[in-house]
Formats: sequence, C-alpha cells, structure tokens
Amino acid sequence: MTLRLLKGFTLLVGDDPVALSYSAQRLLAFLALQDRPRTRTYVARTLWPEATTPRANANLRSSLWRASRTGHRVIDASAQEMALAGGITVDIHDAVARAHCLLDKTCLCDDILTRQTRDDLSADLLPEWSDNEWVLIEQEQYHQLRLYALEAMAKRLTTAGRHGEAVAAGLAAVRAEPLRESAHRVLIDAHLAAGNRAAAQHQYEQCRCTLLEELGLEPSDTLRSLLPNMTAH
Amino acid sequence: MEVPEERSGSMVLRAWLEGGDPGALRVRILSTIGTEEARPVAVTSREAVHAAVQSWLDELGAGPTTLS
Repeated sequence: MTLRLLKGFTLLVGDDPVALSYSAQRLLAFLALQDRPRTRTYVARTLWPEATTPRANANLRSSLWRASRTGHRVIDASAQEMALAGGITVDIHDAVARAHCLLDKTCLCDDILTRQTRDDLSADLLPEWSDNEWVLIEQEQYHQLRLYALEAMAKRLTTAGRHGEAVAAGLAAVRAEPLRESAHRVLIDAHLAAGNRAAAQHQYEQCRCTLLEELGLEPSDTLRSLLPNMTAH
Repeated sequence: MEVPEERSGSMVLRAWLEGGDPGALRVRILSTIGTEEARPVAVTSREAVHAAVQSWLDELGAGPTTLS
C-alpha cells in the first residue's frame, strides 16, 4: 500500500485508490507524520483540540472505525496506542530522506537525481489542509526543506553537466519561493553552464523585477557578479 | 445589532537570511482571518514584521459585523 500526502491525500492499493472518509484521512495522515506510535489521548487531543475530552475520544473511535471499513489494515491500534500500519509506503518519508541526502555533501546521490525527486520536492504537503493546526508546522518544515533541497539538486545537476535537468530543478526552486536570491543564483548558474547567457540574463532580470516589486531591493552584489558585463541599471 | 461571531485566524512567517547574512532578513507573511486568505506580503525588517503582526491582530480584533 502507498500513502501519498504530497499534492493531496491518496491511499493506493497497488495502483487503485482507496476511498476514505475525510475524518479517516486526517487520522491516517496524522499517524503517517508521527515518528513513533502515539497514545489515543494524544491523537484525540491533537486532532480535535477544541472538543471536550469525551467528544474528542468519540471522534477518534469513529475515525478509526471508518478507517477500518476500507477492508485493509491501515492502522495498528492497541488499547493505548496507535500507529500507521507497517508496510505502508509514505511518499513524504522518501522525499524527506532524498532531500537530506541532497543536502549532505558527503552523499553521492546520483541515483536520486531524478524527475521523481524533482516532482516530490516541487509539491507541498497536503496543501489544501491548512485549516488543520497540526499540519501547519509539518507543511512549513517540509516547505523549507524542499527549498534548500531543490537548490542543492540544481547545483549537483549542473556539476554533473545535466544542464536541462539543472534548469528544471532551478525553476522549481524559484517557483517555490521567488524571493530567494539563492534559488535564482542556482538557476542562473545552470543557464551559464549550459552556455545560455541570454537565458541567464533574462533570469537575472526576472529576479530583479521580483525583488524590486515585492521588497523594493536591488539584487545583491553576489548575484550581480554572476553576469559582470550585463547592462547596468 | 451586533451579530455574535467567532473570529479566528492564522499567520505564518517564512523567514530566512539571504546568503546567511544577518543583515539580509527576508520574511514572507501568509495570513488568514476566518476563511479569508490575505494576499501574501514580503518584508525585510523586524519592524515591518511587527507592524504586519500588529495590523493583522487589529483586523482580527476589529469585532463582529455591526448591523443597524
């Protein structure tokens, strides 16, 4: 079984999606994002912080029952604790591991410089679930991690001479946060390494416009120094 | 008359130092009040962050809709 939390919630058995109620989805996603089994009390309080304890416990029992109706074992629950069932692959776990590998300079990473990695690092965690307080921190942590990882990926691809893929990773980094000069820098580097000075200059101009419009700032000297002979403003 | 209304919101500050430079603070501010999402804004100083938080709290505390 596979649980996808990037871009949105999907539970798959093989290639077939499994229908789940929203409350069961929330429970499954929450357990998937925990690094260890959690007590029922903890789960109930976190998922229903505004409900009374009896109400939160009743909501948890109901969600657990709904999750069990799929006919698949998706949650391991005892009288005290619960966790996502073993054997379920969770996309964000793989994505986070790959992101850390990309950021580790001692890691070779050749096997993960793939389109799949780029796609996973281009997506946010459960982007439509921002009304759930417990997911906000997880969303933001993954968002930050993926920004750095996309930049690292673009650098690695440039070094490997895979310029087209480096540009694609750099574009994903800029899309994720257009105000990061570091993202524009890796993209400009990728264009320059590919011998595409016009594209590099165009990217610099885009960065300059964005920074001026949103922050009222000019790009830093570091960024400007990448294109020393460009027309001064 | 005053219509009772529960107001709540959330604010996310995405902050980083560009190039690791302590003088190059960048903050992207995302906020909501109720189901309404405000346009994201970006600022470069602590003072601007404080002002944005203050303004958001003021808006949140502006009170329920008043109908005459």
